[in-house]
Amino acid sequence: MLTLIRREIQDNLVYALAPCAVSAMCIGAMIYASFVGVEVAMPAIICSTLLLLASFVGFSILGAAQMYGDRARRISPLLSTLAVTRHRILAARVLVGILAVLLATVPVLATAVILLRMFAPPLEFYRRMVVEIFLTAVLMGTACYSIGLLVGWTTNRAWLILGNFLLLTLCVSLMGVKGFGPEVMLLLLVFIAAVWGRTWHKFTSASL
Amino acid sequence: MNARRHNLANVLATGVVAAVLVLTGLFWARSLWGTLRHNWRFHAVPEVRVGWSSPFLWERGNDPNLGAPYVLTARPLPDAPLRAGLGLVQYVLSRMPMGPESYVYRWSLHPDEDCLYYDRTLGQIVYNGTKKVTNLDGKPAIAHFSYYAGPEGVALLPDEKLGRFIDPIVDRFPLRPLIVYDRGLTRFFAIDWTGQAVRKGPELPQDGRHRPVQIGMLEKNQQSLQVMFVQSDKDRSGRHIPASNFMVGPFPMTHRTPVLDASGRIDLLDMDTLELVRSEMHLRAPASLYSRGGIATPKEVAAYSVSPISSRPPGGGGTWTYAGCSVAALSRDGTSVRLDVFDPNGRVVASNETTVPQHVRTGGGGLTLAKLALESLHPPIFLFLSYFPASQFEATAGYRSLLLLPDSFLAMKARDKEGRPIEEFFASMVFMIPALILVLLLAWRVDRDGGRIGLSKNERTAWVAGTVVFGLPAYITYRLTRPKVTPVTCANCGMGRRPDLEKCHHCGSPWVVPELVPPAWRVIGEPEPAEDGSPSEAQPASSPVQ
Repeated sequence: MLTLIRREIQDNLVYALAPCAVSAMCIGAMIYASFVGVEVAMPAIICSTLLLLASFVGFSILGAAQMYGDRARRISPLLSTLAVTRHRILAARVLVGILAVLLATVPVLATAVILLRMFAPPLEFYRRMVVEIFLTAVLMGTACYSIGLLVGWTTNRAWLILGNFLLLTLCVSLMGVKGFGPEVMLLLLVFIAAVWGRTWHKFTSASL
Repeated sequence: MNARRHNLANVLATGVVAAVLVLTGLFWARSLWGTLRHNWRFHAVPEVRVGWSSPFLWERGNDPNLGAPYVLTARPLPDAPLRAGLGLVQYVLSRMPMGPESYVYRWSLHPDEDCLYYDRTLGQIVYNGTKKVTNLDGKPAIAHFSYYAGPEGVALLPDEKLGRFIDPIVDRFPLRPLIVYDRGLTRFFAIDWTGQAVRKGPELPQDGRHRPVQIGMLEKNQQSLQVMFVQSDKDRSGRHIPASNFMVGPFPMTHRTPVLDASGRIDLLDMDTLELVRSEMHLRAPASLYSRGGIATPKEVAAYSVSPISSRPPGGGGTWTYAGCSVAALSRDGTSVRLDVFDPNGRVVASNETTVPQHVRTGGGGLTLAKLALESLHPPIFLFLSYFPASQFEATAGYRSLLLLPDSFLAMKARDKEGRPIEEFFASMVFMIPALILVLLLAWRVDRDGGRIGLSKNERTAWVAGTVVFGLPAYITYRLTRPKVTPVTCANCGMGRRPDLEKCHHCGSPWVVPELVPPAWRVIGEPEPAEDGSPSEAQPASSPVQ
């Protein structure tokens, strides 16, 4: 399994590391804002927020690259001739995606918590907001990645690009519709489970 | 997992994905159409205007022609009601400090600035502030202080003796003693931070008649509704009027402050005695399509703004007196506004609202029909379920609802309680007819296609039922998960049959498999004669029918 995971990371190193770079930029903007004040650092904060949204696109591209690469280069049929099942291949793929999402979001959360403790009055409402926004961002990143997996299992490039764009837009807009609360988290959890179910069925029932 | 369960899991997963994406897409389509409709109304009916001059004390008994033309205007802002209702905006409003539902009443990211909040664990209101002090060396410095206020008093440290607030709501006006109403203790309090004292008002009778929900600044979705006070600088006889004798705004200049009740009634709180003076003022919703308007609760209007009117009569020694109130309210769909002006006794002295028939005039009618068409694409089950809690929905819930449609025509009609319940029910269900026609069409297509590709009767029935209940998402799910086979011509009936089934799903005939009869000749292991190059005669293979 570890070999499969390592292989997945090596194959998609750029897409897996790009969100981490975005995360680093967000952390930089947050630290800058803490020292110079929110008003002064507003352009940097807006840029980093947009970059964070762009990282959702990055997660989706990672998923799409994994599946499209497999379909185009027939990786899983080759691996299936070895002592590896398709379930394991897909599980390794999904684990890499989740790892990328966590690598991009957890450092931002940790920085936010530390900075709030250092610079802001110790109020109760931060905690709930930070946790809710963080969990929603993680789930949204995972949902975007899952959409990439779902759309990437194709040989049609037009569908790959347009479908990814369309589904991604609809998915990310859920945050605008529902905000960051438990309602959107539940919705995203159900959506992610369903997308994984559909992807698993398509992937495991595909002919060699 | 066998193939049947595997397939069922796939259908369920695809259905959920299709439902979420279709519902989100339909939400944005409805939202876009709602914005267009709202903005069209905004340009068609720019504002509601009310003029009055009678309620002021010094003008009573005088010639009304000498009264000053005071005008109040109210107008919905373009796009704003729809944007304000989005979940993201509501989240920010409810969770962010100083929001209407937040327990943080004053706040700054900077630790040196004032901070006022309710600490739930202590049950006390905490005021963190700074003051300028002089150090021992004579240099000025800033010192931090904290006050803790409970129902029994104010102290520099949290103390059980101060008591606990249970469920407080506060007046957000910063320049007077903090007025607090505790929904658990059912009485008003005035916290004087400077004097470190708390005054208690009388306990309100717990008969359900008093349920304050907002004190002082009575506003909801203030970014959606703009209320303006316009005063001419000359009266009708051309004399100059001093402009400073009136004040219309969210903060009263007198010792009375408005208190909004959950029933929509607007009472007045005497800030000296902390007694609640019951009033006849009410929030009034404007009439809109399938709603005649009238008295409304705060959650039944998309936005409201209550502005106390303070006056300073000539010769009154410069003292401000309470002179009435203006109340503006925005309908659920954000298209109609009502503006009422009350005198100090709570009687309506002037009133105006958006006229109703705009829904059917040129342009508006088309947009209204398009709204109905979009609602008809919604899954019928959720449209139907929107009927039952129609009157329970908060007014802006429709702007962030994916499943139920609180602002659908069906729900609007359901809220219009006029006739007998059964009549109302069927009158509301009329709005489901387009949706039902659509799903029946889709179900017919599913049934026909299922028959063509050889689904069993039970499978077809399940798909038809699913399509009738869930509509478009179920149809898309069917199209994505149906068996993808290319039919071949059946040798028996001539119709297309699935190659992966043993029998033709039209005529039930099996495949005609040629019977394999071994040939009579054999190849034996003897070497062929070198001189005989001609092939040996073999018996022709018998035909399967032989």
